[in-house]
Amino acid sequence: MEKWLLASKFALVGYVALTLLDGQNPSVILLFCLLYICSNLAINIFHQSIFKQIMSLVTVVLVIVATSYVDPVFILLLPLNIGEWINRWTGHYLLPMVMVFLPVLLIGIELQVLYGVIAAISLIQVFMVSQFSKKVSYLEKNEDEMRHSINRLTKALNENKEYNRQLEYTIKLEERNRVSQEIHDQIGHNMAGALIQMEAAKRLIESDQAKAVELLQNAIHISSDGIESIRLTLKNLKPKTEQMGVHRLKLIIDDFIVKHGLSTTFLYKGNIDLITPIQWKIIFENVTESLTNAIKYSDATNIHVDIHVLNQIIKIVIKDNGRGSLGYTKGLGIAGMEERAASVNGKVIVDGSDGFAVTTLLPLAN
Amino acid sequence: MNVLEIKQLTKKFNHFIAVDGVSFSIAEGEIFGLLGANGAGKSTAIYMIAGLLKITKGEIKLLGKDIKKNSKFAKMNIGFVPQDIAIYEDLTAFENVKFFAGLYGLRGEELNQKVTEALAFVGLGDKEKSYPKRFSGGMKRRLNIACAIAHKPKLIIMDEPTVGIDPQSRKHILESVKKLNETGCTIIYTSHYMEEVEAICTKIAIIDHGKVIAEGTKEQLKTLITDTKDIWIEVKNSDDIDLEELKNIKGIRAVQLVNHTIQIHSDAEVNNLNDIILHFMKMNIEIRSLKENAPNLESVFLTLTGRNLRD
Repeated sequence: MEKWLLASKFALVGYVALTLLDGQNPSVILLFCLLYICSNLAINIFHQSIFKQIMSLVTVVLVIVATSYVDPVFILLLPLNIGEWINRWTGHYLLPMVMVFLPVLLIGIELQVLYGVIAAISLIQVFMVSQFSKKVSYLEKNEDEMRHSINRLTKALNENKEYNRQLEYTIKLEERNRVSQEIHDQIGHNMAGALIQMEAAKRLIESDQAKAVELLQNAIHISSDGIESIRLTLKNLKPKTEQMGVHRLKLIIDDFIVKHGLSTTFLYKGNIDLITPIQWKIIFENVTESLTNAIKYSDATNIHVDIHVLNQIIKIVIKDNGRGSLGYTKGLGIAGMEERAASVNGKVIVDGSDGFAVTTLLPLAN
Repeated sequence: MNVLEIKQLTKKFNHFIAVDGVSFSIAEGEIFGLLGANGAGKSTAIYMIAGLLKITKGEIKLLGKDIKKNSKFAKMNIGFVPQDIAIYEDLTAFENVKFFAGLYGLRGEELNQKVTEALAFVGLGDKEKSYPKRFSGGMKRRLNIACAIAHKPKLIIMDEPTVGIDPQSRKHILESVKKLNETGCTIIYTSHYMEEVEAICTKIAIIDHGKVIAEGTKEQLKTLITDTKDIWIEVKNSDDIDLEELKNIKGIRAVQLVNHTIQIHSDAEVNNLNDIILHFMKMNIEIRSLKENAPNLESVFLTLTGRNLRD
């Protein structure tokens, strides 16, 4: 947009040069015109705003000198420069308007009309340019912030993916370990025992048939025990929901402690088995949300997570010892927790009077 | 028929949400108790029901009519006993009640008659000509109630009517609440005294941080928390007690003996104290002390909100 201003200035200086060059002292007029062009170019070349302002001032002085010593027509160049300078300096609109129209009183009557027209056009241009440059810088800032947050989110997403991948791998490994251990401890021994008995029976089958039958019977017993333990092992592969729930919550909390180094304690009381998977999901999400909020706002040094299964109700409390908040605004986070709880007829109570405590009450399914 | 129906009632003071999406309904003939600590939003909710505070969001229906659109109807059918006593010390008891009843449009003979009735009802019939300046705290409270009931409203709201008064006046007020209820009034009652609420309310809602977190009869509220109670009986000589036989008494789930104390774990719903004592008497065992640890409203409130009613 500054180019627009520059073009207007050159048009004006061209006009001034054309009107004056056929008079006397064309070389002096040309000199001032060229000086004017130079100083205006300099305004655009500098990047720091202090130099820009100095050059604007120099140009204004130059125009005033030219007006007073060479030819009054030079005053026509003044409005654009004075408007630009004061607007850049103060950011105001009223002050440049006054300053631009002030010289009208000082100049000869023959120039007044022309000056007035040029001054008005110049002011409009200056204001438009200032508006546009403000908008542009605002948009640039916005874009910058968005780029930053995209970067941050991409990073978080990648970290999360990596974490999930590792978690999956660890869990698979653990599970394989458990199965192989169990097979080794139980079924392996059983099969080995049965095998030995059968080998013995094979040798004895000619000489002592009764003994061989007895040994085979043993082997049959051992084998059927082995089948039973295979069945049990497979059954145990399917974990109970209770284990999934508490263990996953512990994992979430441990992970939080590692990431943020904030001491977090977890206690549960009552019959945890009664919590359904859908309720566990709500508990995970509300706990995660509350922990994140604590990190963001609370300045806490300790967080306590408490699950209490009562007769007909589950109470989940996440409480920190931070600065609390009495006039908190209900943002997306708290509204989300309320919605999730409401989906199973539960309630969320937020208390910011002593640290920050979020209590979720969920009715137990009958 | 519901006397009062409240849906998603919300009140915001700037950013502060005093009442947050409260919904409940009160059937005719109910004494409805509102329990909540200071600042829980009780009074704000009550002020909105009484039409003294603008509703931010939600709906209040009195006898099926929206109170916003039928404010005159609502005022005629609600009697409000405020927490801070609102009577004129320079008017006699009779004039006080007459003034408030007159605001509801009662005139002439009917007015005088209803004022006399109301004063007699609260036990101030012989104090008609006296000035409240000389009244005790309890008498002022009773006069305050008379002012709210003279126009025979369908719904009476009592906001902590027993604060700072002597036991006798309290007893009188509680009895008059019951009597009002028997004459067909529906009552909303708030109090800091858990035992009052437990004694007179037929339905109770617990409010915390602007939300109703539990609602129901006192039995329903107690079962939310637990359905068992503990009875500890200390005896002089525990040598020849047959614990197995105790277990046959209805409701008892487990029994154990620790030193000289028999610890009984029982269903809370079953009233088996008589049977248990009878058993000890039959066995000729001397009881030294007996302690029953059953859930009460206080423990329900404490468990659900994590704080005491009177903080």
